[in-house]
Amino acid sequence: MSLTPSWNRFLLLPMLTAVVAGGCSEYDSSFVYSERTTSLIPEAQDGFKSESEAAPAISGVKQLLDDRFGDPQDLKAWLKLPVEFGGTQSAVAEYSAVEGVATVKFSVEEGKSLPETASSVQVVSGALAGETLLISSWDPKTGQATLEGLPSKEIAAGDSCVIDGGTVMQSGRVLYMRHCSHCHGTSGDGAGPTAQYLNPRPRDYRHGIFKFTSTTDVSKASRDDIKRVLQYGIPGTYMPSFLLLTDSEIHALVEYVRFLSLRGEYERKLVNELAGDFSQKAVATRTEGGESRDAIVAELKEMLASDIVEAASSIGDGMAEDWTVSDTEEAVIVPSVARVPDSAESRRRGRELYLSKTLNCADCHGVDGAGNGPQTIAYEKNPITGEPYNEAGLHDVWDNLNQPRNLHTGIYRGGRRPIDLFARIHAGIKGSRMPSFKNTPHEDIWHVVNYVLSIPFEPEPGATGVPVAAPAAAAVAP
Amino acid sequence: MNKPYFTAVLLSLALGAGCGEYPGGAYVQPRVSFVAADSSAAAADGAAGEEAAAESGTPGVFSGKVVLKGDQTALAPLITKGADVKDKEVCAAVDVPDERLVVGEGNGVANVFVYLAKAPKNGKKLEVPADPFFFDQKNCRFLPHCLIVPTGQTIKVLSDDSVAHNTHTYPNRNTGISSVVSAGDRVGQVEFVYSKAETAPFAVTCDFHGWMKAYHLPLDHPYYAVTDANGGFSIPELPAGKHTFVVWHEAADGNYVERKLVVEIQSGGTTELQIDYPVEKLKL
Repeated sequence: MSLTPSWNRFLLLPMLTAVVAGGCSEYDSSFVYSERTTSLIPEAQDGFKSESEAAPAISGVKQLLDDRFGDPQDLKAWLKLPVEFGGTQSAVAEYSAVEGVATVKFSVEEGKSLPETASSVQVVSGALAGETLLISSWDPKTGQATLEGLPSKEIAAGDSCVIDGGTVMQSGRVLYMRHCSHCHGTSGDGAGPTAQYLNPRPRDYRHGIFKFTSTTDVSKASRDDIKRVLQYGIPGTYMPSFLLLTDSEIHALVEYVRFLSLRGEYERKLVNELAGDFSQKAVATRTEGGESRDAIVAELKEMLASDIVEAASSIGDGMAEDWTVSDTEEAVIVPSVARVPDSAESRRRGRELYLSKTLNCADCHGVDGAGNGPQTIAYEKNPITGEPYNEAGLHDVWDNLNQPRNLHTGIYRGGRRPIDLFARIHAGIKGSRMPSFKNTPHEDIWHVVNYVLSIPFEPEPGATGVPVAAPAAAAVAP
Repeated sequence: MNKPYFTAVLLSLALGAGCGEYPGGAYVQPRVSFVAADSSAAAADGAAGEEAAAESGTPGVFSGKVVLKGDQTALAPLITKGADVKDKEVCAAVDVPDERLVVGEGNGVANVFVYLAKAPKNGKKLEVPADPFFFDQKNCRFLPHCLIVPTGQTIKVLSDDSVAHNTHTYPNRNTGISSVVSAGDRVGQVEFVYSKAETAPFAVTCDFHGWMKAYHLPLDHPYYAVTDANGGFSIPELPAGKHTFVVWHEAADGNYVERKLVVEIQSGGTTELQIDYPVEKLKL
């Protein structure tokens, strides 16, 4: 230590202050609510407090969200969601407390197995819901556990539990904060501290949409899709490869990213239910139109107490189904024909299709594939709000201006394997203006893939780059 | 006491030890508490309640007309014939009307959605047609401009144009699609289904032709109408009693002509109503 005594005098006081008064809370991170949530009137955001026993509290959007997702210090693992939170879901089969010793027998769903070790169990339903009990001895064969001490209330057969739960989430949260949050933000809103310096912007997960997937146009991203992006990065963007992380670390991150995406999508869909009638703007229009604010608030209260409770449940069901189905083989795009071998003829046919009125790739990507088609200079309106965009060109659902890919660079964000390009054309780029061409014959898609892959090597636009085909290529050159 | 040593201890306390590495912050191990899958289901069951017993009385008809009040000159065509637009040989082959506001005889406003906000408890069940609905486009114009469709009915997208279109939907509750429709597709290769009812119409666009716009509204009950060319509508077989209708139009500021139009339907008869649409509400 080379600090001199004079240094000490200056450092002592602040350091003592830091130790004594620093506390922990000021470093707590939090999930932020979306701007759409905060554009609702306060009553819709915060709900209504309990006035009496007969009139219990009514949750607003924030409470509904927090109850199911928690905050970064105290995460909630909503078992409805298709996220592997870690741990083993089980049910109490038998419970007995004899002479101060509590034993529980656990059972798991058919096809699932009991863990080899067990140190604690979280009770999810029943009298002890929310409590964590410590296990002193465990028999993995029978599922018999002896608890440390007696629980404060009886456990009943059928109560659902999770043994050693949440480990994947815990690890995912820590890894996410370390590797991802500075761009993607603590809440996955794509607004971390670094985000403002990046173009393209980091993905905001909260639409529940990822651009580059191997799944069909109406499907979500699969676990494999997120994993692939984590491992190999997105070429041409700031998203790096995390190939040095271990498989279990990648797995934890995939699950945590799913969790954040589901949280954002849930919030978005809840707000959708309310925004039409109860955004600050809507309420202003309504009061101007002669309605009283009290009447509007009373209507909101009734809606939050009944319709929204129902909607919250069905939104959860819908998301669970979408994300589950998207992770199955059914959702994966499988070409009905093998790749058409690359040849001058196939490239020529591909270019013909590229320029054709039917596919009209050139409309955005340009006649010569430089990403400068006429659509990039058109002024458009936001299809949802009807407001004109400030800049000409194509905007995605995140309201970012997208440059159609310049196909001369040979850099493909969604991957450069032929199957990646096939999937891009088949499913489109989700959330962007690149539509799905799934009804195009698969053979034709392969021709376009062959042509697109040849563009970086073209001696001049439209020349297929294979000398043998020169006459044919010249015929279709613009 | 060795002062540097003391400082080192303090430093480590201040920076590291205290409450763990970055107390409460990024790297702290979070707690994870499990929430039962059906946490809200019980409440929802209660909220849904029992189906109310059918009210006595024979169903009635709700009919009327949406009338624009005030002076408003007709909108010029969106695309005039021969205009220099993209794909003009198709898209500017005829005058394409600006459908944001279409006014017919007696100032009646076409393309207004009139529908029950919620299915009535004693209403008839929604019959989902087995045949698909054909959603067409010609001269870079969606046909129809406004569509209410029963949930569960298949929609097939056609094109009578020799250029590529794509159908891009922006629903709230359903999954949107953005799919290319081949030039001159009279079969309807692009097909989709809305499985959930929506609360308000939403935009359908074509990314190739930015001016193309239509509105879709899937509903899970049969009590709806889109006003005809002269603003007229008729909704039959409504259970007698009070109902709350939504009157929605794309050019109205905030989109609603009436958010909650309460109408008492006479038993067995026709309840007529003129819905006034003041020009001040227009936002063109």
